[in-house]
Amino acid sequence: MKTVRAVPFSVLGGFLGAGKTTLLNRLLVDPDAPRCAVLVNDFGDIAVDASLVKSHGGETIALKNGCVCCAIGNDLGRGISTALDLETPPEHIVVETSGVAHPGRVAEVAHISQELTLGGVFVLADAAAVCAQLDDRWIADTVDQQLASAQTIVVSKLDEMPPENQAGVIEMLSERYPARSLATTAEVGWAQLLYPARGHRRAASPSANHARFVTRTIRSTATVDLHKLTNWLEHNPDVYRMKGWAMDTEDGRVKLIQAVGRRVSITRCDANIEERLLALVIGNDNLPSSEDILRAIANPGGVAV
Amino acid sequence: MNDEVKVYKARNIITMDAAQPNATRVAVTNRRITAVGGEEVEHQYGAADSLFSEAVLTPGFVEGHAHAVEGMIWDLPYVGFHDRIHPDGHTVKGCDSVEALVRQLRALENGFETDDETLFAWGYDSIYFADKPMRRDLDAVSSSRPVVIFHSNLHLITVNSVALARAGINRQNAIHGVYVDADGEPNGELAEFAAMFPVFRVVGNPVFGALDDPASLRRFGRSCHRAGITTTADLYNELQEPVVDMFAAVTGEADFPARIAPALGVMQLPIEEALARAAKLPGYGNEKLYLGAVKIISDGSIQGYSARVRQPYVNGIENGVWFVAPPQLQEMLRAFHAGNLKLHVHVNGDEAAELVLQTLAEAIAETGPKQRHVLQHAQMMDAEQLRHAAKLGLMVNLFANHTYYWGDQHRDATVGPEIAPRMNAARTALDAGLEIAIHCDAPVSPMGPLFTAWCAVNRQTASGREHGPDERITAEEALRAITLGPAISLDLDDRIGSISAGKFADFTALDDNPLRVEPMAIRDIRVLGTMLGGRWQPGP
Repeated sequence: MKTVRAVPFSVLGGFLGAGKTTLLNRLLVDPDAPRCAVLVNDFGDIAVDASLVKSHGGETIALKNGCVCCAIGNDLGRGISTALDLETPPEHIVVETSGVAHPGRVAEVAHISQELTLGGVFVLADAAAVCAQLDDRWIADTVDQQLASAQTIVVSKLDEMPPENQAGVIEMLSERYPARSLATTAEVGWAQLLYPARGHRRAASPSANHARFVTRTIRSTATVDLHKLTNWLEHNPDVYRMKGWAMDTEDGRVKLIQAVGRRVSITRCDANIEERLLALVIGNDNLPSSEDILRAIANPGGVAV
Repeated sequence: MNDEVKVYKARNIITMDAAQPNATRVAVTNRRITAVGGEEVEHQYGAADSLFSEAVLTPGFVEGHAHAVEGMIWDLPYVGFHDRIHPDGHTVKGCDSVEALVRQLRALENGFETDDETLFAWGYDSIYFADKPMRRDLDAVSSSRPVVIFHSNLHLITVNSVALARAGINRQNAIHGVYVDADGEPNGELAEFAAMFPVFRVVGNPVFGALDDPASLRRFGRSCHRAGITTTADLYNELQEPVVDMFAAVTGEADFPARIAPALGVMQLPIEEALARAAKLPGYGNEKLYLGAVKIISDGSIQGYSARVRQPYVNGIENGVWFVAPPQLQEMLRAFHAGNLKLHVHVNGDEAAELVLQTLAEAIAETGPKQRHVLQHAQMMDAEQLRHAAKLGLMVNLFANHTYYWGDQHRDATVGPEIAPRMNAARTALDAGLEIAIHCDAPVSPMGPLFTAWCAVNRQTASGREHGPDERITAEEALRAITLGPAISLDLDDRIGSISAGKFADFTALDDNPLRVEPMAIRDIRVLGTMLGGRWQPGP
C-alpha cells in the first residue's frame, strides 16, 4: 500500500574501515548520480572536491549534480524526515550506517513507512580484514550480524589481495552467507544501488527493486575448455561478472579468469587450487544454477539460459 | 564583598575530613569555610547563628552521574511505575498497574482542549508488568487522538490504535520492531528507530531537542536542590556554543541553586575536533560551572539487554551492542588519554569493562598515567576487574539505585541469580582500594543521594528482597560516596566534597544523622535545605 511517490531507500552498511566512505565519495561525485540524499554519520571523511559543491550548510552539503549530503547526528529518524521534506524531494535516499549498526534493521523502515520503498541493503566487507574480524573476540558477533543482514555483500579491496587469497575470502563469504549476493566495490555504482538487478539506471518504475544480484559458486574436478567457457560468458547477458581459476584442458596450467560484462580476460597465474575449476559467477536472478552452468560450459549449446 | 565571618552551630557536623570527622561549629567568610571545630570557633569568630541548631550538616551532596535532560523530561507527564518527585517538590504517584496507568492517562486526556492533539507521556517501563498495557488499554484513554507513551529508556513507545492507523502500521507491514498479539495484529508496542519512525512522522517527536532551554536547566537545578545536591555532573552534553553560553548565563544567576560539571559528549565528533573543543571548554566555566571532562559510551544498558556481557542474558539474548565499534572506542580512549583529557567512560556490562580496562592499561603503559579516569556505572565489574581498575589508578562510580529499581529483574530476567547479587559491588571495590562514588543517572532513576546511599547500605530490592548483602557498605562509607567520592570523580575535591577550611561553604542540612539512624531509615531523613557558597537555600 505504498504511495506512488514512495522514495527508494538504500542502506550502505559495514564495519569500520570496510570502505563505506570511499564508496560514498565516489558515488557522490558521479555525474550520472540521481538527485539523491545521502545521510552520513559525520562529514569528517566526506571528501568532495570543492568545485563540485553548490552550498555547504551546517548539516547539509548540496552538490552541483543535485545530490545532497546530510549528517545524521544522533537521530536517524530526524535525518530521514529532513530528506523527505526537502523542497525538491530526493529521487533516492542512501543511508550510511555506523560501524556497529544493524543495516537490516535500519532498512526495515522502508517496509513500514509509506513514504519509502526499499532499494537495497549493501553491506561492505573488507576483503583483507573480514576473516580476522569474524574471528575477533570483541567484534565477531557485530560483523556477522551485519553481513547476515545484507541483501548484497560488497567485497572491498579484493584487488589488493594476492589472487590465491581472493578465492578463500569469496568462498568463505558465499558459504557462510549463502542467501546473500556478492559483488565487489568496483561493481557497485548508482545503477546497482537504484535498481539492483537490471543495471538500468532509469527504469520506469522503482518497483524493480525485487531483483538483485545472484551469485553462484562453480567448482569441478575436471579441467576446463576455456574456449567454451569464454564463448558462454560472451553470450550470456545474465552474467555481470565472473572471477575464478581453472585448469586449462589444452596445457594443464591454472589460469585466472575474469569477466566483467562481455569482456573476458584469461591470464596465467600460479594459484594453487585443489579443484580444477573454482569460480564465482555474479549475475541477475535469471542466472542458471551452478549445475546448469557447469553443463553449459561442457556443452554450450546444450542448456538454454 | 561581604567579608564578615558567620559562625553556624549545628547538632552535628559530619565533615568527611579525616583530620576532624565531627564538629559542631563552622565559620563561613563570604563563600568559603574559614574554620571548623567546637566551641573554640565561637571564641575566635563570634557567637553562632542558630539557623542550624537543630540540624545535622553534611558536605553538600554531590551527584556524580546525572543528566540535565532530567530538567527537560518533565515537559512530558510522568507515568512510571514508581512514585517520583517532581523538580518542584511534589510527589507524582506511580502507575503500578494497567488500571492505574489508564486512570492517570484519562486524567491527562481530560485536560486537553482539542480532540486531535497527541497525548504524550513518559516513564513507563514494561519490565515491571506481567500483563503489559497495550494498544487496547490505551484505546480506553482516547479513540480520537493519538496516545504515545515513551518507555523510561526512550527506546520504545506504546501507542493506541489511532496512532497506529495514522502511521499506517498494520499486520501487513509489521516489521521486526512492531510487536504483535496472538492474532498477528500490532499490539501497540514499537521498538527502536524503524518501527517508531512512521509514528513520529505524523505526530512529531517531543523528546530530545537541543538542551538549550534555560527553563529546563533551572528545573534541573531545582531537582538538585530538592534532593540536597549542591554539585551535580551532567554526564553527556554535546555542548554546542549556544548551549555553553546558556549554561554559563544560567549558572551565573545568583539564585541558581547548584554547581554543574558537564562532560563533553564526544561520540559524534571526530577525535581531532573533540580534542580541540575539550581544550577550549574550561575557559567558559565559572564558580558554578566546571567544564573540560569528556564522556565516552562503550555499551548499552543491562535492563535493555544492550550491555556487552561475557555470558548470554538469561532470556537467551546472546549479547548487547557496542555503542561504537571497539577499534574506534579504543582509538578514542588512547587519543584522549594521550591528550591529557579527563575521561568518564560508560561501562555497564562486564565485557565492556574488560575492553576498556585493557585499552586504558595499554594507553597508560604507552604515555604514562595522566588524569584519574572514572568508569561510570561499572555495574557488572567483578573483583578481578575492580582490582585491575585500582592498579591503573581509576575510580568507579557505581549505579547503586539499580539494586532497588531493577534488582529483582536482574535476578529473574537479565543476568540471572549468579551475577545479579554481586552487581554494583561497592564492598569489593572499597576492599580493592578504590575510591568510589554512587549515583542515580537521572532521569533513568530519580535524584536523591540519601536514597542512593540507602541502596548501597541496605541492598534491598523494590520487592523487599535482600540483594547481595555481602556487597553492603557502612553508612559512613556511603555518605563519603555521595560527597567526597563524587567530588574526587569530578576533580573538584580541592573545593567541594568535605567541610574543610578553604573549601566552598556547600552544606546539606538534614533533620537527622545518617550515621546514627537505623540503616533502613536513611532514606526517610528529610533535607531541610542546602547552603551553596555560604548562601542558604531552604528546601521546598
